[in-house]
Amino acid sequence: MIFNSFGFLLGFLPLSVAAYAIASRYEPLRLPTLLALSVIFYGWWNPWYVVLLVASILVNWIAAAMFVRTGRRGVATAAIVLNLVVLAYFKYLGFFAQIAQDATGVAVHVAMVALPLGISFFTFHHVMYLADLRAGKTTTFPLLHYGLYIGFFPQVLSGPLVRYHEVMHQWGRPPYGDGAAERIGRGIVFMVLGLVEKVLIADPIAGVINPLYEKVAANPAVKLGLIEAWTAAAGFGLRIYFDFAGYSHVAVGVALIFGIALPQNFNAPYRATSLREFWRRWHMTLSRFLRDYVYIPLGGNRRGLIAQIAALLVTMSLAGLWHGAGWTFVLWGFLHGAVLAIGVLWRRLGWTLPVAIGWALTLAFVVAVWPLFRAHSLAAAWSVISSLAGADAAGPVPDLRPLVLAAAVALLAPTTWTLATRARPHPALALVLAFLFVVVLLYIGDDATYEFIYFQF
Amino acid sequence: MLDAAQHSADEAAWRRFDRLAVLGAIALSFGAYLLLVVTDPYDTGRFFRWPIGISDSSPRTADASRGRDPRFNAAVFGNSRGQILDPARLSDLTGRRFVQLTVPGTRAREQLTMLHWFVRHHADIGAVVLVMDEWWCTSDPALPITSPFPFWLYADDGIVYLKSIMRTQAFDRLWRRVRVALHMIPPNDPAGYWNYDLIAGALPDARKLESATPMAMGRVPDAPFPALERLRDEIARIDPAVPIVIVAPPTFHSLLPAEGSAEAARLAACKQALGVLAASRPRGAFIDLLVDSPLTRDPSNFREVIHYRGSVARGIEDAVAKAIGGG
Repeated sequence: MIFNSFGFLLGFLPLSVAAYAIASRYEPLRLPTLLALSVIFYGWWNPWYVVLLVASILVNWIAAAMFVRTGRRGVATAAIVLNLVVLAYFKYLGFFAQIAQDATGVAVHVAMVALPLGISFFTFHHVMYLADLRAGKTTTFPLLHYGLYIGFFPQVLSGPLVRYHEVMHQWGRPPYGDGAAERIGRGIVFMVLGLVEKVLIADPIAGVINPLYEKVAANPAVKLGLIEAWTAAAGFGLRIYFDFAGYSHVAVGVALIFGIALPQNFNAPYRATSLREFWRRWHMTLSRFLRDYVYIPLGGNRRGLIAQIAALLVTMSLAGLWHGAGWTFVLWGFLHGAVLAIGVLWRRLGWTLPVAIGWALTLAFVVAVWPLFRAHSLAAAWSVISSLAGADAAGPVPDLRPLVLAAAVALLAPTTWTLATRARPHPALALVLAFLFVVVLLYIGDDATYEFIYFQF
Repeated sequence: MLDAAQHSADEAAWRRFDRLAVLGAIALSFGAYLLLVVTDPYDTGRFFRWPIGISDSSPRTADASRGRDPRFNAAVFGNSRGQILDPARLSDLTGRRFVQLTVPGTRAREQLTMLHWFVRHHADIGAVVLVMDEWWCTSDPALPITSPFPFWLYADDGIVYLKSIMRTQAFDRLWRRVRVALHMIPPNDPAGYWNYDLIAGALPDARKLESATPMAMGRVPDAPFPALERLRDEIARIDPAVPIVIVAPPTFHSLLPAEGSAEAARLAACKQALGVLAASRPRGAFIDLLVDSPLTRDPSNFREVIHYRGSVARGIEDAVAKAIGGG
């Protein structure tokens, strides 16, 4: 089930809020009801994958209990490895088979399986918890609490990547007691503005840029015009931002309506004045994960400059691979790692850069490498990227209006997080949100709505 | 004490805010929905009827109105390759009252839907003309389409319509209907005729016409024709006395499969099936112009490889009228 659907907004959400509100009057029923709702939400897409989600919760919970009882680190390590193997099976089998085939020349046939929604995210949830458990930073939790940590429906499909200590204490809090009205109100603001970001800002861009990427996919030798190329690159950057930030804000809003606060995931990333700052503003919960569970364990900045640069390159290449099983994603991550490494050297040398130039260079780099993320092959991505410096300034001009609107919001407007956290309970705001909700419903009713991009990761 | 009072006032304000946002969203959603159901922006006549005239310029949606218009009792179905047949001339020649229900860019599934809609809304049909191109010869039972088509608009089940009417495009159509009703813009042609020959254009480049890629046909002549089976079921609902004329429209000859090829055999098998289908009706006829002939070898008969000119259309209208018989 996706957030931007009639089924969710007019069916599942109101019914599940009602069910949870009723269950909240009988405390023993409250959390089982929330978990059951989460399982229904997850299973709506494919009931068979509920088995995977439930098994994943049980196996990891049992492994955690065994580790605490026996004190054997190998148990936690084995559970972490098992999680990664399952993720690799579903997500990377075909990619690895292709690499083996290319390296050996021997045809490798593997049975392709559909990627279960959310597996990349709940795998990381397990890994974060088990790694901290093994390090002695946390302990075990009741199965119901652990199940909700993994499967809580607003965040099960695409995050935000929540640390266990950010939510575990919230499960026991009565959702509709003191302060609930404000939580629900802010949840409504988050949810409606998130839907606006997704449906009214991100989706219209798809209609402009998809034909350009289809053009280079069909014939990677083709060159786009200068404006077309920048439209393809910047348009995708704006689309994926509002698509994923919109999803994250709906998730945060819906979670608040159920009494749970989730962490911030985006903070105006295109206003960053360095790439390091960009990653502190973009998919912030993933950045935290990469820093704490990949970069620092690889040595971080503790083992000298060369080791730090190597750690950055490996971390960001893995970040690319996590987003998709393909060389385009790996290269995208590697290039981000390389420019982050240049930033490390720059700071070591004590050099500075005017803020405006730092912002322009950061934005230009981020935009220029987005085609690697969107195009289906290195050749198609190169077709777009090489056209960015093309001489064909007189090429066709696509409809730029959706991009102009998105760019203005991304660069100038207050963020959804700011608006929702600072909102006052004014009646006019309530009516504006009600109106925007109806507009969103009408756009969802059109035949041109899209799934959230991050569902594929 | 003051903090507690402030907190309590804030909580009350947030409660009012929550109530207003939720009730406002429910009221506005329901109001918008009710407005669309009552005003019938696509003029489907499902629940309410507003005799305003055709305001819609897209045949995909406008034909919901045309297809149920009681002023017409005969119709032309197909895609842009049947678009240039003039319903007024066909009416004059046959004594029937023709409407154009062709929809550009459609294939068998959409055209079957239009036929079903017309039959459903007309108890006394005068004639049916089906302009059927090679896409009807598909062996794919899914009857694939290439462009979005509003099947929900033509669904037999009113629930499907009610589930789908909440959309911005419906408000766009509603606004146009309001403007037609207020005489701010003129209504569109109720018969749906659009003569693409009126668009100025030089004669096509003969070399370009000759170098066209032959049409994509399956290579298995005896594979089933699921679209024709669906058509057989659909026309079985029409009174046997009603004339049904099937036209295989002409294309420039270079588009035809090479003689002796598997594709040519497949096309021949398809056209034979069309002939059998027409012959199964007491007043059925099959006009096959999808052949290599002087007509399909003359570049002046075409705007481009698949769209023939008005001069050819007049000939087809004459042949159709002859098959139907005068009024």
